[in-house]
Amino acid sequence: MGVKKVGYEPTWIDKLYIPAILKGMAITFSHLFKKRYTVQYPEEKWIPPAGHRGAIRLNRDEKGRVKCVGCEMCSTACPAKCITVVPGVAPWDDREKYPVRFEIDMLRCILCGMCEEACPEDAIELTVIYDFAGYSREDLIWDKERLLKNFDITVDGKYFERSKEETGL
Amino acid sequence: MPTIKIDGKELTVEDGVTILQAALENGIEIPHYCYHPALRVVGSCRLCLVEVDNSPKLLPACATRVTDGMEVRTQTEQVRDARRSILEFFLTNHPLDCPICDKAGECLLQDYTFKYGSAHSRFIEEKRVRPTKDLGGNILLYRNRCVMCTRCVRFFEEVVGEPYLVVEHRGYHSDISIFPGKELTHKMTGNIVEICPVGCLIDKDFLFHARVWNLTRTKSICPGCSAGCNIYLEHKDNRIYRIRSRKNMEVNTFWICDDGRYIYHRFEELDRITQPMRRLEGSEKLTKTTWQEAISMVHDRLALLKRAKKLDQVAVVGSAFASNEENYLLTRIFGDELGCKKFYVYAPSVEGEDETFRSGFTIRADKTPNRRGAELLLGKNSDFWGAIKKGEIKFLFFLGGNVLLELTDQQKELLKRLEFLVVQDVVFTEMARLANVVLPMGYFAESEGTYVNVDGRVQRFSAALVPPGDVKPGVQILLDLYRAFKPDLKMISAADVMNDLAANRSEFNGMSYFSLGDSGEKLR
Ligand code: SF4
Ligand code: SF4
Ligand code: SF4
Ligand code: SF4
Ligand code: FES
Repeated sequence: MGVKKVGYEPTWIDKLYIPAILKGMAITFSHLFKKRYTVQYPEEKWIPPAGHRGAIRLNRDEKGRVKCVGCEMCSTACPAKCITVVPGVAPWDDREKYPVRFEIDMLRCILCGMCEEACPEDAIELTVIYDFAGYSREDLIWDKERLLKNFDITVDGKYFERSKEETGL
Repeated sequence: MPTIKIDGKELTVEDGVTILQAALENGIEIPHYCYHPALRVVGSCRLCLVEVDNSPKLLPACATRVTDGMEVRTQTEQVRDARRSILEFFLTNHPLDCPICDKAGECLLQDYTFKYGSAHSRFIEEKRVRPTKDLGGNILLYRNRCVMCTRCVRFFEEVVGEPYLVVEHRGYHSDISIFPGKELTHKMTGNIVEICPVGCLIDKDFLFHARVWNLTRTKSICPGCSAGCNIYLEHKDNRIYRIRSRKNMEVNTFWICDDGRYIYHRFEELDRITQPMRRLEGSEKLTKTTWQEAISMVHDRLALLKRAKKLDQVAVVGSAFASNEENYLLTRIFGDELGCKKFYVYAPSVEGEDETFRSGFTIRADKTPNRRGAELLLGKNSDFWGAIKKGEIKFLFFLGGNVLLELTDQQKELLKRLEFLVVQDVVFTEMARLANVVLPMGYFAESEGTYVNVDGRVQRFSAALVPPGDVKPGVQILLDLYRAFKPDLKMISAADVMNDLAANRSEFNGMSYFSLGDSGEKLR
């Protein structure tokens, strides 16, 4: 069986290694003068592009009440089965049904946006919020109040200007 | 028997049936609203139009009888077109209410629109809006959603025999209305919510409680009276949300009464016994114990009596509220194993009269689900009080199941004369409070077994819920007790007990838990 030698045979210049080192350093130095991508998180915040799918909010209607009508379309569509809706008779004259309880287990949520897609009332939406964390599992099971608060802190597009105290996240 | 062809499929059908009946019978779907197998044909919704032979016009399948050699087509362009148009008409004034409509998920307007309708609405005009009406009782009428099939109107006229609802006005202005001065408090009312093909009639008891696709259906038998209506328990997260009728042409046909429909509330927020209890010698109070301890207390006491040859002091009370399996196990343990002779049946006396409606549907005055079964297995003697009074009984095993059980003061005094009282029951009845050993059992939705209804039909019910705490289904408790006497016992489930019962009692000969199926079998 004959053996055919293929591949690269270094020349004597290559064997010096100096040109290759210089070439590498040139690339490194050239980056000193290019645009910087590193963000000094958390002092500095990365602003996600439009359409980013971050943490969930529950929208408010024009009277400031939860817009959700408790239809459970979102929890039905949710592939992670992390939404719990307990519907009930609304306490208002102009609306019939509302969510008595609305909970999302953010530990299980995969931020897929199916809930937003399924909602017939535009009541649930994904936001720019990506920086949410908690000290316990309970911290990340968000109730109706927390989800409505997410609306309040993101609706004007100024989420990243708000302080930690203000966002509670 | 005429032979017809539907969509090229050759079928031999009964004489005199309609095309719709023939199709449904053979698993061919023809959409329909106004037709209901239990109601007179009115042919008003026009959704069931089909092409027949060479007839130039489409014919309503629900109102056209089959003739020999007839050829029916249900899928031609002309038929589809007609359906699409009719559905479009239904939707002109129909609100987009599905998100807050309890019918969504089992709504025939949703289903048919999805299957046969158009995905787009051409209707840009303002929709007619009619306020929702409270018809009294548990019923709300969401008038915007009505498709004017008049099933509800005909139900009261033909099944109940007492008109409550009526169609007011004609044509576009048609409106379902209730006769002045009436309220929908009739005991058969809940059925109209089931037969309404859309979400027009809504039950306040279920209003906004759950979406139907999240509910699990378990086949059961209503324990409300001796009629033994077939029901579905619809549950989620170990809680029953509603009860619906289950078709059984031999028993309840399509209906159940409202006593049964809402019976699950009777078992909510009860003073449940959640753990086995025992009374220490001479103590006033019951204390919690383990199953092992409780069962061996009963076993040891009986063994003691047996050694002392005092088994004639032992009496066993079965229950018309308990399943055949539970009652039968009593005869196995106390009769066959120990040789006791005193068997009684706890069954409150029947008050009032049966209520029969026009269609023949009857609500029984006997409010126990299994009097027939219990009496068949244990005999008709129910006077254990008399026997206690005469001092003939010192040890009593009482199988309960009636969560509404109340005792008179005299009866309580009598119980105190007993030396040992074992009570197997669901709640802390006055009886349980006086017991030496309390064995907590599940109620009907937490157990499985069979009942015999008033006509002698043996019917099976299944467990929908997991019982709270340490509670066990009655059959399991009695099997444990049986095993204490007979360690090599083979039976482990209600099915085993039923099969044993069928082998040993002539009335049940040839039946098996499996063969009973969904619709039950008559006693031999
Ligand atoms: S984003 Fe996806 S996983 Fe998260 S709640 Fe919505 S549907 Fe569920
Ligand atoms: S789909 Fe929308 S309206 Fe329906 S329960 Fe979810 S958030 Fe509420
Ligand atoms: S009746 Fe049917 S189509 Fe109409 S709102 Fe209710 S679910 Fe939707
Ligand atoms: S209320 Fe329901 S059952 Fe009665 S006519 Fe209207 S759609 Fe038919
Ligand atoms: S079902 Fe035939 S017309 Fe309504």
